[in-house]
Amino acid sequence: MRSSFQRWVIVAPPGKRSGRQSERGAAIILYWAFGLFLLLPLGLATFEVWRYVTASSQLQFDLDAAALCGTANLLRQHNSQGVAAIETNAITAAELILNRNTVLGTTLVCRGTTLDSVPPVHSLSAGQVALNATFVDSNRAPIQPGEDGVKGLRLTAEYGYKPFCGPFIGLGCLPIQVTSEGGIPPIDLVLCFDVSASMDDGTNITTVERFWDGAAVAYQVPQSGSGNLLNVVKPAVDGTKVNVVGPENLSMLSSPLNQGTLYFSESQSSPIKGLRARVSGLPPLELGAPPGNFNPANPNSTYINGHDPASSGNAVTDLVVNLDGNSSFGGWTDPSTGLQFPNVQTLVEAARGNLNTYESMQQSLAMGNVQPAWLPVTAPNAMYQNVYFARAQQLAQPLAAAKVAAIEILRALDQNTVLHAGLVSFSDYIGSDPGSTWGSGAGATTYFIDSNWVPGGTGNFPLPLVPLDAGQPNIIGLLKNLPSADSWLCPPAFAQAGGGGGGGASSIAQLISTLVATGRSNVSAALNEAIAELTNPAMCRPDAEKVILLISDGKPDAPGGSITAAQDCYAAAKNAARQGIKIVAIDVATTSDTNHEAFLEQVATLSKGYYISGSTQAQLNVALQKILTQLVALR
Amino acid sequence: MSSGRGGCDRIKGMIAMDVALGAMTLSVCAAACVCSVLLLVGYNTIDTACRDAARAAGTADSTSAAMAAGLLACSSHRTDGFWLSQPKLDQSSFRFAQAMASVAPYVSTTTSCKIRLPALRIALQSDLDSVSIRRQYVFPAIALIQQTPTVTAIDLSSLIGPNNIAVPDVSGVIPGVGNSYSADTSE
Repeated sequence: MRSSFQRWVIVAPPGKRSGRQSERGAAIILYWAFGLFLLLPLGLATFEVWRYVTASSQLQFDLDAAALCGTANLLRQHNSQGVAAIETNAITAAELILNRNTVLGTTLVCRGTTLDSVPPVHSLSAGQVALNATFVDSNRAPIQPGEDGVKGLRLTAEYGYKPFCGPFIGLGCLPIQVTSEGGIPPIDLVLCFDVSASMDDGTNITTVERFWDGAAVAYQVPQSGSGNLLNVVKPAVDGTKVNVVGPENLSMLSSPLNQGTLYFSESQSSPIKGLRARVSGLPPLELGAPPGNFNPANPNSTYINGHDPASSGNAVTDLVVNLDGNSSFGGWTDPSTGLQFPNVQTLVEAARGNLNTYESMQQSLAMGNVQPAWLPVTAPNAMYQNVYFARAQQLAQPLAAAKVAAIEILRALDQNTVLHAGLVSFSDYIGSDPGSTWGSGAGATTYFIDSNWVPGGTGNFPLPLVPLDAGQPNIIGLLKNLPSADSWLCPPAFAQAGGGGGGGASSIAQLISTLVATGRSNVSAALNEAIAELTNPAMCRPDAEKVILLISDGKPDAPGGSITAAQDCYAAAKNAARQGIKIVAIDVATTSDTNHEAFLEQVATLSKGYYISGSTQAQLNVALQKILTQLVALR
Repeated sequence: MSSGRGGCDRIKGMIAMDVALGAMTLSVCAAACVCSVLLLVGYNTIDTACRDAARAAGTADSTSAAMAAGLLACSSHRTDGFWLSQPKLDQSSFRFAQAMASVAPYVSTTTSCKIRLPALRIALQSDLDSVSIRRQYVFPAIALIQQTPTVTAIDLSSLIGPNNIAVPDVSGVIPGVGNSYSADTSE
């Protein structure tokens, strides 16, 4: 007996089927036909589509990886390689990455790369990839291979896709074409540069007590009076307030915060006061301008102005920078002018300006017909004081290293992207324009040596602020001539005005070179100014990466105390993160202090930026790599 | 009557068979669909997890940092844990190229996960009801690219011109002395 199933599926002979059975048989045939010829193909088609989409997606990722690798290889240092060699490396790197990847489990085989502006159509076998590379400029427009100005790499890959059902329906390979473009976005960068007093604490100096010994001007270096400024002054915490060039603030030698025993003669009461020179009271006035505590009316007296120099062994009248850079001065000759600085005496007199003319030299040294034996043969010379201070500024550490770091990083960034830069220098506060000076703020001084030694003269110590300018043109051409270029990184309006701190400097590079250390460290003011500029649509570009380059040597101590100041900085760093601004903090401190390291690292971390310790060339390279490689992105 | 009752029974039997066959067919189809969907979802999940792990590891500059970044990226892809196990980064096959000589240092990540297939469970009636799938991606270790530019030394002295030197301005009156004189720049 047949089951109902058998009756359904076994087609009965014609004429023996009931009408209902015929309908049922037809229905089941349709049912299976539907299943076999519609649902199955539909399922297969769905799978085929999914497979194609997956293959396209995987190929896109593989090509993105190749484009990123190729673009990263386009980054280069100034004039290090020819453009053609760099481009060859980029393509090689892209191919290597592509060949290591897979699509649907099959390793890709790159059969070569063309450099056509329009990717050609290939006939590819399954799994093969044909790559086409196009180099683009900052506007993403194609440029010819070997041409300068490459800012990105556009890759087009054509892949031979073999459909799963291809063999059954006689379908060959289908092409999948995807495109990926890597590049470095334009960068809007504000350089926050610390010029607080501790920024020259790593300088090797000599402190000197200059006095008249009854026969000639004598020079006495106090015990432990030479070496690293930090070690000479011995501050208990943080850095010193004493500086190696003006404003020297020599009174701060005897600050209660220091553990050293030295003191500035003119910050003491009489009779030690007056050791540097007698400027008050009755004649006789000193010769020179003024020369020191020499009493021409009684030249044989060792008790000038009622004071015996021998009884004040820790008194300091002068602080000079060891122009040879060593902790103990051994002599130095300026290579460009030939001026000789064979001894500490020359340093002291050159810094005072006494070697500029014969008259000032004769008067200040109370010279008769016989010159002191230590006097160099190149004296007098009108350049002595300038050469001394120019060299002293170059040796003021870590300030000088920070200057070089800032300029080098800006130059390297500009080489590889379209850079717009601003400058915010800070100490107790920040400036307001490129010509701002430190002495114009509340509590600031303009005295070059010390407020207790007015005859030491005055100075306008630069605290420039160069605002970011969204409309500033590409500056890459100007940078190629560094360091001789005068208009480097300079907003056109400022260049035309000819302004600038420190004597009319007219570029950021030159403004940086003029900076001297003084005052406290108000990091938060600089960060807030930088954030304001980087979020101001009139000052920044909407498509640019926003970066703050913070170069500092330690913890802030303004406004308020160090704790309040640090909290302000953390708040600013969090605000920067919210605005998509990364802070790259470069720590140039000369000492290893976990407090300031932790502070700068925290600021960088809170902003999702980077912290780099040190200012050596190798450490700067790490900073640069972190900035640049993290910016390499797909467009 | 019997003929009528027999026809009715036959119809009932045929309906029952219809239902049984239909249910069986539907069950098979449903199981196949569920398995297919699970497989596709599982594949897509580890594919995405592997990509993210590769991307994250590619931004690191050391093996340990790359591994940590890869693990973190992988763990961010949550699954139900039963049908689809949590994607795992295969640490034994993790590669982070340290060779700086290459223009293309890379990081290689492999992720895997287990997909439990209900059809296998029903058919085999055992715990061998899951399949393991793996996915591998290679990504450039961007931070190790050899060609990354380095800073070139600049001579600061060339930027310090005569106008940029901080020198004291002492010409004029010296307070407290009582008379004035011009001292040029000397002290």
